Amino acid sequence: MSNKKILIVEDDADVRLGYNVLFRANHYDTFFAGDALYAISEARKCLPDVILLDLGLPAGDGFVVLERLRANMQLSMIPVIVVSGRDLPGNKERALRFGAKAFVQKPWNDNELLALVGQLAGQPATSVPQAK
Amino acid sequence: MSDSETRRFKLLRIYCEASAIAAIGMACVVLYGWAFRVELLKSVFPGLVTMKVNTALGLGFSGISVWLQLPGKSRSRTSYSARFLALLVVLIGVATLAEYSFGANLGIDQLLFSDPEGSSGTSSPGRLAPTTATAFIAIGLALVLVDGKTRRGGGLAQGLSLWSGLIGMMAITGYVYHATVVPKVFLYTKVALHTAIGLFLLSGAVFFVRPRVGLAGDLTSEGAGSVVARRFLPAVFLIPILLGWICLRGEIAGMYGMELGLALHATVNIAVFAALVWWNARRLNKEYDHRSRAEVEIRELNAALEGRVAERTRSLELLSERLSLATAVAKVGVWEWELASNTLTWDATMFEIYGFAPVAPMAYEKWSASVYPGDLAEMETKLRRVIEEKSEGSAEFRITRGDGSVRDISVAERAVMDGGAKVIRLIGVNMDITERKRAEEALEQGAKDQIRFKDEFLSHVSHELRSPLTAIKQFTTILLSGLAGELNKEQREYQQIVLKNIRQLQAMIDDLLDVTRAEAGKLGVTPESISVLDAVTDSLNTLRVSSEAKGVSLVSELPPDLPPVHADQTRLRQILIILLDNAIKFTPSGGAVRIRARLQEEDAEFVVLEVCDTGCGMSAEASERVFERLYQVEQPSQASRKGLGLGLFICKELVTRQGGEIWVKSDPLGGSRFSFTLPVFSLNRVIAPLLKDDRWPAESVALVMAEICFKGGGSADFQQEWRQEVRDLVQRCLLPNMDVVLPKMSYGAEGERIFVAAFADEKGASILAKRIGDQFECIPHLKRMDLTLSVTYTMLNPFPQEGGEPLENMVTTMAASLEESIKSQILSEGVS
Repeated sequence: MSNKKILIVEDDADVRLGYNVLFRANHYDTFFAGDALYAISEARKCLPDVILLDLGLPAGDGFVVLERLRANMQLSMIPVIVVSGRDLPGNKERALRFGAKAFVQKPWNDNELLALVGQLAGQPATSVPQAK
Repeated sequence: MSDSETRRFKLLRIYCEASAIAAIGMACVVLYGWAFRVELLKSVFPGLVTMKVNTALGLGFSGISVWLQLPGKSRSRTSYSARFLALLVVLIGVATLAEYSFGANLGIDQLLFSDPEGSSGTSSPGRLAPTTATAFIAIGLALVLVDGKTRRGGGLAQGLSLWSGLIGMMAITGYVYHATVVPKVFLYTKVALHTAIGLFLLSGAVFFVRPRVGLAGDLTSEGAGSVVARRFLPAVFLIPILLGWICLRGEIAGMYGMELGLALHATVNIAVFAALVWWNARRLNKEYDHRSRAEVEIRELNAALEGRVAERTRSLELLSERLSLATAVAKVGVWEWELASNTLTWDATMFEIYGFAPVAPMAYEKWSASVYPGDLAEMETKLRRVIEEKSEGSAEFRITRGDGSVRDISVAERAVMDGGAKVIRLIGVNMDITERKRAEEALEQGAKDQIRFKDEFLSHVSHELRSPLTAIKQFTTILLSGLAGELNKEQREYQQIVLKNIRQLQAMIDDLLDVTRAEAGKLGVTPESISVLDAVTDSLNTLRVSSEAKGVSLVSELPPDLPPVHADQTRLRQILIILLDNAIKFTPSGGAVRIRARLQEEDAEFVVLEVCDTGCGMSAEASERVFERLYQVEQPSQASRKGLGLGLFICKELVTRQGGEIWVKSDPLGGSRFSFTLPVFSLNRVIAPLLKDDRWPAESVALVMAEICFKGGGSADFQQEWRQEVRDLVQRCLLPNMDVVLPKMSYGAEGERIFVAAFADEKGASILAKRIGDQFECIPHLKRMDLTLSVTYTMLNPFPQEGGEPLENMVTTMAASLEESIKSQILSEGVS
C-alpha cells in the first residue's frame, strides 16, 4: 500500500519544515503550498488524501481556498483540516460551514493531529454533498 | 353695628317695654280705683280730674298692643290681636268724639262703672276728654299701621304718634304751670294727670317701636345729623318747659310783670340754645379735626404703601431683568403653556432656539410640528403625566428648526395650579444641548474605539505570538521524539524544560485571549450534556504529574450517581485545571488537594463542585478580591512564577456564562475551598434558547430520531467506534450551525438514539430522514457489521395557530416528555 498524500498549505517556512519532518516520519508523502493560489493548483496536481490548511495566507485567506476546493467536483471530496492560530469561536464554525472536516488550534498536539489526519486520510472519502 | 348703636337700640327697647308696662299698670290701677271707689287712684291728687274708665281701657289696650308689636315678638296671631286691640282704641276715640260732636250719649261712658254727676273738669259723667279721644284715634291708627309694608306706613305711624305725644305733653305742661286756661278753650272734660303721662309715654313707645325706620330712624342712625339731633332733643323738650316754669314762678311771686316775664323767658331760651349750639359746634369741629387728622394719616400711610409697592416692583423688575439676562446668556428659553387656550408664550431665546420669528401668543401645534416626529408621542405622554400628577418633569427630545437643522433640546417643566388646585398652565425652560450631546457621543465613540482597538490589538498580538510558538513547539517535539536523532538523557531533560515553558506561554496567551473575549462579552461557551466524573478524571490526569512532583496528593470524592451537567466540556476542564493548579501551587509538600461534587441542597437543579486545599488559606480581603482581574494573592516565597493573575477571573466568567456561580470560603487554619455550581442538564436548557434565536427562520421544527441497533452485538470498543461514525454521518446530513444534534441523548447496550432538532417543514423532515438512511446505505462496512438504522421524525409546530398553546409551553412539554423517556431508559440501562 502506497503512502497517503498530504497537502500542507502554510505560509511560514519554519512551520512547513516542521510538518515535513513529522509527516515524513509517519509515512506520508508531503506536498506544500505557501499561498492561496498555489494551494489550488498544487491540489489539482497531486490530488492529496488530506489537506492541512492555514487560515492566514497571502493572496486570499484559507476560506477562499475552501470555497475554491468546494467548487471543484474533483477536489471537493478531499477532507480538509484547518490548522490556525486564529481564535476558535467564530472561525471554527465558519470553517466547518465552508466544508472543513476539523479545526485544530495552533500550537497543536502532534499525536492528536496525527490521529486526526490518519482518520481522515485513511477512510474512503465519503462524498457527502453538504446540506444547504 | 357699633357698640353705642347696639346699646342705643337696647335702651329704646327697654323704654318701649317699660312704657307699655307702665300704661297697662296704670290702667289696672285706675280700673281698680273705679271698681272700689278709691278716689286717689282715679285722680292722683284729690280734686283733680279723674281718669275715665274708657281712657283706662284705651291706655291698657294700647299698652298691650305695643308690647305685642315689639320687634322679635310679633307672630301672625299676636300681630292680629295687637291690631284688633288698636282698632278698639280707635273705636273708643271715634265714639267719644262722635258723642261730643253730636251732643249725643251713646251710653258707652258709664258702661262699666258709674261716674257721679259733676266730677271736676268733666263735661258729661264718665266721658273722656276730646283731646284724649283724638290722641286715642292717633295712637290706635299708628298701632294698626306700624308694620305697614312701605316706609311711608312706618313714617305715618310715627307722625300719628307725635300727635298723641303732643296732646300728652300739652296736658303735662298745663299741670306743671297750673294752667286752667287751655282746657277751658275746649269747654270740655280735662285730661287727667296720669292720662297725660300715659299718653306721652305710649306715644314715645309707638314712635320708637320700629326704631330703624321713618322718623325714628332719622334719630337713631349713626349719621352726623342723627347725632346732633340726639344731642339737641332732650334740651328741646326740657329747657323751654323748665325756663317757662321758672319765669312763671317769678311772675306769680310778683317779682315782674307778664311782659317782662315773657322777655326774660325768650332771652334765657336764646342764651341757653345759643350756648348749646356753640357747644355742639365745638364738639363737631373737634370731631372733624380728629377725622381730618386721621384722613391725613391714612393718606400718608397710603403714600408709604405705594412707595413700598413701587420699590418692590422695581426690585422685581430688576430681578426679572437679571433673570432674563441670565437665561439669554445661558441660552435658556422660557415658555408658558396656557392649557385653556392651548397657546404658548415664549421668550426671545425660545424663538432663537427654534429658529422662528417671534409671535405671541403662539399655537401649541406650531411647537408640536417642530418636534422630531419620533420623539413627539413620548414627549406629549410626559407632559400629560406632569399635568395629571400636578408635578414637575424633565426630558430630552429633538426638534427640526425653522432652517431644517435637527437640534437636541433639554426641557424641564412644572405644573402651575389655580386656587382650586386645577392645573391651568405649564411653565418651563428649553435648552439647546446639541453640542453637549455631540461631545458626549464623540466621547462614547472614542471610548468604544479605544476598547475595540485594544481588543483587536490583543487578539492580533496573541495570534502573532502563536505562530513562532508553533514553530518552537513543533521542533521541540521533533527533537524529543527522536526524529532528528537520539538525544542523551541530559538533552532530553532540557528539552522537556523547554516544552514545559512553551506550555506555560501557550496557557498565558490563551488566558489573554479569553480575558479579551470576556470583556467583549464574546467568551464562547457551547454547553452540552457532560459527565462531571469524566471531566474531573480528565483534569486530575492532566495535573497528576505536576502534583506528584510537588508531593501533593490529589483526592477525588465524587458520588457515583451525579446527573450530567449542562456545560462546555473544554471550559469545564479549563475551570477545573485553573482551580486545581492553584490549589496545588498553594499547598505545601505533603498536603492534599480534594475535589468533591454533590447536588446542591437548596436547589437540585445545580451541581456544586468544590476544590479544597490544605494550604495557608487567605485573608477576608483576598477572598473578596480574588476573582478580580490581575489580582495576585501574596505567595509563599517558594512558589515559582506568578502567572498573569487572570485564571480566577476567567473562571468566574466561564462559570457565570454557563449559568453557575463561583465563590471561595477560606479557613486560615484549614486552607481554602473554592466552590462553583453548574446547572444539571435538561433538555429544556438546550431547546429553549435555540427557539428564541432569530436564526430559526423556518416555519416549523422537526424532531428527528435516528435509532441504530447492534444486531450482532460485538465488543464495546467496536460499538464505540461505529457509534461515533453514525453520529458523524447524521451530523453531515444536517445544516451546519442550524440544526442541532441534542447532545449525548441516549445510548446503551442495545443501540443508540440520536435526537436532532431540525429546521424543516414536513417535506424537509422526510427528505432529511431519507438522506440519513441513504448515507447509511453508502457505507457498506456498516451494513456488513450488521447494524440497522431506522429514522423517524415528528413535527413540532413552533408557530401555533392563534389561540393555541404558546410556543414555549409546547417546547417545554415536548422536552419534558422526551427527558422522561430518556431518563427511564438510562435508568434501565444502569440496572442492566
